[in-house]
Amino acid sequence: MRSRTFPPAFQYTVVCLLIIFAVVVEGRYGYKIERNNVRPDLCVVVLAAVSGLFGSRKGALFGLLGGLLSAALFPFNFGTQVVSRTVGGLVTGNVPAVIDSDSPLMGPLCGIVCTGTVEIASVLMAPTHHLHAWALHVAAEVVYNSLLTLPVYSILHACRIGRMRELSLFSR
Amino acid sequence: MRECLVGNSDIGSVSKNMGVTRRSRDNRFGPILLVLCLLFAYGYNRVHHTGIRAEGINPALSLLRDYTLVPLENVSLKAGSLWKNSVAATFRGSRLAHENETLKSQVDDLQAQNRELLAEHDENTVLRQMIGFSQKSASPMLAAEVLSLKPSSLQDTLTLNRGLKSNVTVHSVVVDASGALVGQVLDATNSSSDVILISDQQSSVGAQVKARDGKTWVGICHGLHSDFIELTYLPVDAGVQPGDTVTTSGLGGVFPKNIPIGTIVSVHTDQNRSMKSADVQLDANLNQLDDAFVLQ
Repeated sequence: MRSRTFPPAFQYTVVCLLIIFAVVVEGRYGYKIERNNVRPDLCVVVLAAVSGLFGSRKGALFGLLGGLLSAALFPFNFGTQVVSRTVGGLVTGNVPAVIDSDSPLMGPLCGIVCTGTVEIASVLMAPTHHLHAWALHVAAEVVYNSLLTLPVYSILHACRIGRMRELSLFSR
Repeated sequence: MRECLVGNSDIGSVSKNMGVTRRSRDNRFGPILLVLCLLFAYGYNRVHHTGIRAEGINPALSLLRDYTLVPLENVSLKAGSLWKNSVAATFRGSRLAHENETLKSQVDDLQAQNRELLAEHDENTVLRQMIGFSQKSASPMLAAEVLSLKPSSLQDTLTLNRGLKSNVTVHSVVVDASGALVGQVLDATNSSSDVILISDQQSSVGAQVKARDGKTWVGICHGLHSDFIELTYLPVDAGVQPGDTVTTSGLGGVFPKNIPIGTIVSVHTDQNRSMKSADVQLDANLNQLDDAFVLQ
């Protein structure tokens, strides 16, 4: 049994382009899908999916890229955005250790973990006085992000992005 | 020896050699990588804040935005225009015909008004010369396209595709196509600039209201993160009413005078009956802004 995957360089290129695309789309059209002051963070959605597929090391690097691009788009709390997404990618990359990557819960769980980590890291670095409102906002954003992470993760997983090349069980 | 690698490298690989299971040490460099990433983020943040304090070109922002985001956002702009003008237009045939007729009649009315205004302008020029007043010149305006609109739910900002190379400076005033106030420039790189909208909660504008009794009342407009802003610090005896027009007062030296802001929709008196405030509906549609103009 042998299944082929894309070369690693191609996979990394696809992911980087996906992150850049997410940031651009969020800048142009993000406010149109905002409901009751809650909107999905498309960069975090993509980051959650790719971190779950590639693991914590590469998740941290993709988080760094996503954070730099998000901070370039919206340069408030510059350092907070960069660090929170780096840490979010790192933590989310450990989710495959607790759940099978083929499970349908994988995508939403990555979305929950990544969004929660990013928001907690952000509030620790840039505290807010209105914790109750922040908590409600984060809870709604977690739901929104995890719903969007499911299709993104499923598509990338189906395209075998993030998987190692599988060797034959009978090879020597 | 049989070797099998499944899944991603960070989970670990398992190999069997003479019945002994050995896990790979792919996570060995994990903490080092995290520290390196955080150090890089810290250094980049320092460069960014140094650029802000120097009030010059922010190298951190320039590198990311001008060379990565702006070109791609320009492409998305053009793709959006192409979609609107070609594909989407085929589904709007009958509505287009009706819009065309409406626009033609508006053009005719505007042309007639323009002729009258030009005549009055000529008369105004002659009168000014007669009494020795110097001619006031309108501020030149630089047209710009909106690259991103409200990219975050935390603050109301937008990004324009004009920057320092086009003589856009920090604190430049931005208006929409109808001349209504949009905001002011917060930060600029070579090819782009960030604008804080007047609807943002941290935005304030010195404003004036010309009431129907002919008096002018001065106040301050604050953003409410919505389509309305609040005009505060009006005297309790101010005769402002719903329907009155709000414009910039020119006080403070940031915003020029007489730029339209909006129209009053409701007036409130505070509990101590010492001050009035009013809700103002903005003239500029900040939820659908494709183009803007920077006053220079």
